[in-house]
Amino acid sequence: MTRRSLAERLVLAVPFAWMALLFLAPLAIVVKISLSRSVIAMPPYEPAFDLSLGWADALDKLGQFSFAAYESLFDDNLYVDSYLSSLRLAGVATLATLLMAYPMAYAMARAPVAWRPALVVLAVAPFWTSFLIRVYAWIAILKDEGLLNHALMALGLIDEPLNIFGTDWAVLIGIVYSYLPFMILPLYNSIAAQDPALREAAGDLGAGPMAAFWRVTLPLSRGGIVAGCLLVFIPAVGEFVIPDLLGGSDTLMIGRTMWTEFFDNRDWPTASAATIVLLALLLIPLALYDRARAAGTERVL
Amino acid sequence: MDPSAPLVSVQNVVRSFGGVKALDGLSLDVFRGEFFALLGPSGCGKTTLMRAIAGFEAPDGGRVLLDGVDLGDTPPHKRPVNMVFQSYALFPHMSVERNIAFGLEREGLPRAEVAARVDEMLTLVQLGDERRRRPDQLSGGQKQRVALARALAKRPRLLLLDEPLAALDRKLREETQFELKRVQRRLGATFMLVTHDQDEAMTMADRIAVMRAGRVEQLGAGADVYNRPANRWVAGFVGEINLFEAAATADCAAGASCAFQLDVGLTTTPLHCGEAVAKGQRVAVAARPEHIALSRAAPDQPGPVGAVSDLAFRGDATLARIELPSGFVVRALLPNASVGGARFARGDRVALSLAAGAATVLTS
Amino acid sequence: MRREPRAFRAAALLFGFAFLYAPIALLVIYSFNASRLVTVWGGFSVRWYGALLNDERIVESAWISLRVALVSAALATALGTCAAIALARFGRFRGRGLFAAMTMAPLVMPEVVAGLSLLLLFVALDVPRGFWTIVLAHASMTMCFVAVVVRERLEGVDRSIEEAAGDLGASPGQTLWRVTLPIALPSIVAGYVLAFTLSLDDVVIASFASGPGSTTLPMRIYSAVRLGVSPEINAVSTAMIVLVAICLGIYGLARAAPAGGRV
Repeated sequence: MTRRSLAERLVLAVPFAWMALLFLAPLAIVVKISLSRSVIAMPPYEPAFDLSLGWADALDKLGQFSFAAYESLFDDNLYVDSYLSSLRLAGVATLATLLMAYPMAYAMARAPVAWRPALVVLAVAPFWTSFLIRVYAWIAILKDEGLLNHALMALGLIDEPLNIFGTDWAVLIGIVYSYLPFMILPLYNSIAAQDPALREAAGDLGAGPMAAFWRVTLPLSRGGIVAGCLLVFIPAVGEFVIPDLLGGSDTLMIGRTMWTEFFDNRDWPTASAATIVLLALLLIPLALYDRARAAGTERVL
Repeated sequence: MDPSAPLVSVQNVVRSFGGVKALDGLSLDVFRGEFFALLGPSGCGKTTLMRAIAGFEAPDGGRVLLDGVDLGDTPPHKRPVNMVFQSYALFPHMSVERNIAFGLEREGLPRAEVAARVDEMLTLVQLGDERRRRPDQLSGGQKQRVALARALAKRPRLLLLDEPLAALDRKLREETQFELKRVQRRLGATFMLVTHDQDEAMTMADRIAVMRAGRVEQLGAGADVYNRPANRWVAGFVGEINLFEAAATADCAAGASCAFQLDVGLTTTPLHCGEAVAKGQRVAVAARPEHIALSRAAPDQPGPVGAVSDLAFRGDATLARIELPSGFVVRALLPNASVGGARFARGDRVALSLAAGAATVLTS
Repeated sequence: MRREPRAFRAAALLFGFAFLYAPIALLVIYSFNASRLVTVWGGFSVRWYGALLNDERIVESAWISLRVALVSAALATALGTCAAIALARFGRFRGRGLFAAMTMAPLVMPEVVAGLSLLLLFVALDVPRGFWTIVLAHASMTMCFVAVVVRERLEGVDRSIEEAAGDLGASPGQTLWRVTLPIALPSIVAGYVLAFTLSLDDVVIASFASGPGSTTLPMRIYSAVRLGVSPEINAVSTAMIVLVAICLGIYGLARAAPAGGRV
């Protein structure tokens, strides 16, 4: 069964070639440009790759590669601060999302079986609605003269409008809101997959509901917690739309800094170098996750 | 073509999975019109052998011949062999009749012939009323019959059945066993059944190959395998049995009979010896529980005496476990129909005896 | 074990779903606000929807977005289905690890990175940016989602169903066409709808891949949103939410179709 028909080969070759051209090649170009020097031209870097001049020329240009872009990343506090601030914001937001999602996922997994599919749809549906629109919806709520402040002042809870919009708090709320479904789903799956008899057994052996939760349910949902946190943390680090719309001018996130560098400052080599460093940063949690999962499978087997 | 030549001839087939030999130089022949069973515990290689015949596994060595022709690298879709899958593997997006017609259409048969053959098959498995249903609207037994009809529609020279009854409940299983036999007799087709269930194999098969670790341990009719197990392993695998360590009381030629002295302290009536044994040679004597008789032990009873340690009521019979002073446990099956027969209770001291000529001598 | 805090669970659900849906609900409600002031209710009106239809630039961008989404989702579905079949059915092959990684990576790749790298590719190859570059970029991004959905379905299908097709005389190609694809069809439809909505939503990658004259609706909304909240944007957002809700309904129906699972 190892010989493959022409049809089978095409099924593999077409997406393979597509991904090679539109995923691998662009990454290779990013790496290459990150090693180039910034110039005022179009494209705004050199050496520009031109394979039509032959491999010899390309090899010659290899010698001109420089790490100037990477050096400038670390010379400039803007980048280091952006990375740190992104990691911090994404980390805090991930934790907040987890705290928000766990009770929901738990309640969903313990709801009557007939309700569960509907609850899952309800939890996931916002993911389908435009990200942009959902972030935008918060502007009207969080603005100084927005709906939240109106409501709170009408209730007499505050005298002066809270200044949330344009701060890191707004970015935090935006991330929690946008990525909540990504956290709920793996948590729900890991809790719902637990045999209810386990909790009953814990109860039978004298554990109260709280003890059963802390000692049985929570440890068994660890896989879901790890998966959910990564699904939130990784895209949140590189987030652009949320800090740009909800954050203030002083909200530093690397996605936004790269955008500015690329579109406004037109420094492509530095933006490329920033991209490579970001990808390298994101590979660490991914590798950890992969290892954790491999270990988990071994334990199950 | 010689009608007495085997339909399928498996010759020295070897197949390993990562160092584990699923098939270890296995050979066997299946004849035309036969209902053949591969019986063995899980992991014995029976499914691998079936898949090698169907073409889903390529043997590492050896050959599989069908009507004398080496199947070699022939892909599954070009082999005149069809299979009933354990999970039935019905196409979920097709109706019953589309499922049955699938294989016929692949042959490019004219539409009228396909329709006629589908009707014939639906009648055979009594599913005419369900022809437009989808598999998920059928019961387990109906699915099983669709899978059978679908495979038989192609009039395969050999039909393979992979644990076809495993997904059915017990009552339905027995009914289906007879149903399968009926279909096989009616079509005069050759069936090869894979099962781990000895009752299933005995009920349906003309011949059984008992497999273990990629080899055939014994090949023969069900009654032979049950009554004359070839070795200790087969004796233990097929049915319940007591294995007594014993010694020959005399030299005995192959095919002759002689008495054996059991270590538990009993001398048998003359038993048939398949192989020659020398006087004093150590052998095992295998006796089925139904061939062990019990009687109340007199205080000075000669021969083996033990205490009834357990009684298990089984409806038509009661299984008694008797523990001998040596710790050896003998199982005896006592028919419940014998109203006047002796009744025993736990702790009773009983004497054992063996029904004349009913035990088997095992030299390996 | 009936002593579980039921009230707590009910509160968690209520609060959680209120948090998820209140912003969207407010946005929808205020799109029918007669007042131009976005936080003051001035009575019910559909005037902003009328204004939308008269805004040529919005209509033009909506049309571009729709076309991009339809075409890129079709490409993504074809590519993603092929990738899913290769990953779920071909066993081991050379380059499998790389292939699997390439199919999964875009799921977690920041959009800024994906957009930037694609733009650099288009520049390096000297491809003029416009409609087709957005289509290519979106297809590359969304095919991974299609692959995940279809692969999940294929892996849930009993392998012996395809073996049965082979056993009954279907060649590998016929098995793929007559058995595997029809069984996977609901997930392929679901994948298309998913790719369609993702493309319709995207602003970051489209910003990188677009050129003059190919401003998509989200890009248009984005530049308006940066200037603040406006009732027109509320209206166009509501229209998109309704469209997505319809897609979600189709997706749900497609996913709910009976699977060819085990007995």
